[in-house]
Amino acid sequence: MKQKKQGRSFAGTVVNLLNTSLTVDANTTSCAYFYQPEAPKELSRFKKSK
Amino acid sequence: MMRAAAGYITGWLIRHSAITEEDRSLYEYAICSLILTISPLIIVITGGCIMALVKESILFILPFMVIRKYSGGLHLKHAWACLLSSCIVLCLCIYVTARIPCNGIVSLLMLAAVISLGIFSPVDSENRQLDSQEKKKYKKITIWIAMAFFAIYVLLLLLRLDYYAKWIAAGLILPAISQIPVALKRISGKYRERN
Repeated sequence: MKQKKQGRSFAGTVVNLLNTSLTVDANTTSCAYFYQPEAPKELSRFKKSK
Repeated sequence: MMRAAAGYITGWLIRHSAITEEDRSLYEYAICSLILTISPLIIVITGGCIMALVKESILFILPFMVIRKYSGGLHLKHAWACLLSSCIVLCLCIYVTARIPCNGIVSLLMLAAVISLGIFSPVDSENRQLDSQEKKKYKKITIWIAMAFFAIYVLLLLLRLDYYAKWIAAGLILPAISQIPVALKRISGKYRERN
């Protein structure tokens, strides 16, 4: 039970980190690297100016 | 491999009810993007460790990463080709920068890079296309960031810290160079359309 709770809390932290990454991605031109994965349509949800 | 890792992590997040099944592709993209954002930092720090230039490598990669996020540039079609070419290009840049003096030519290249970034940015990729409003916004941001790094470069020169200034210059010149093939392709495309 405790392990499940810890897992959920860690998953929440991972999602927060990924949401930050999505916000940065939605509000910049591309990846800093030489490869750009195909951006899904849902990325527009994270744009600051719509 | 990157997609498999992204798929596995997303599956784990769904099992823990942190995200829904509908958002699977969005979070798979987020994981790939996060890996691709952190990778240059890891490559450069590793390369820097091998060449005993850690501090300098960080000074080089920071302007590169910040500028490239907004300016865009050349993107390869396959992740493995990107990984291989990035390792070679970034490590080669560290090697070359360590061996050149910070002279007038570097300053001229730096100025040319700022102008080129101002003209061609942003260069979007097929996989993430920008609308006209975004293009205007990111062009302005790129110009401001490039000018800020140019000011830091001049300040370091004035403080006689030429050795550190050249690393900032390299971090700005590389994203400008990476835009040139795409910019030339677009210019030639427009020229063909007109004729």
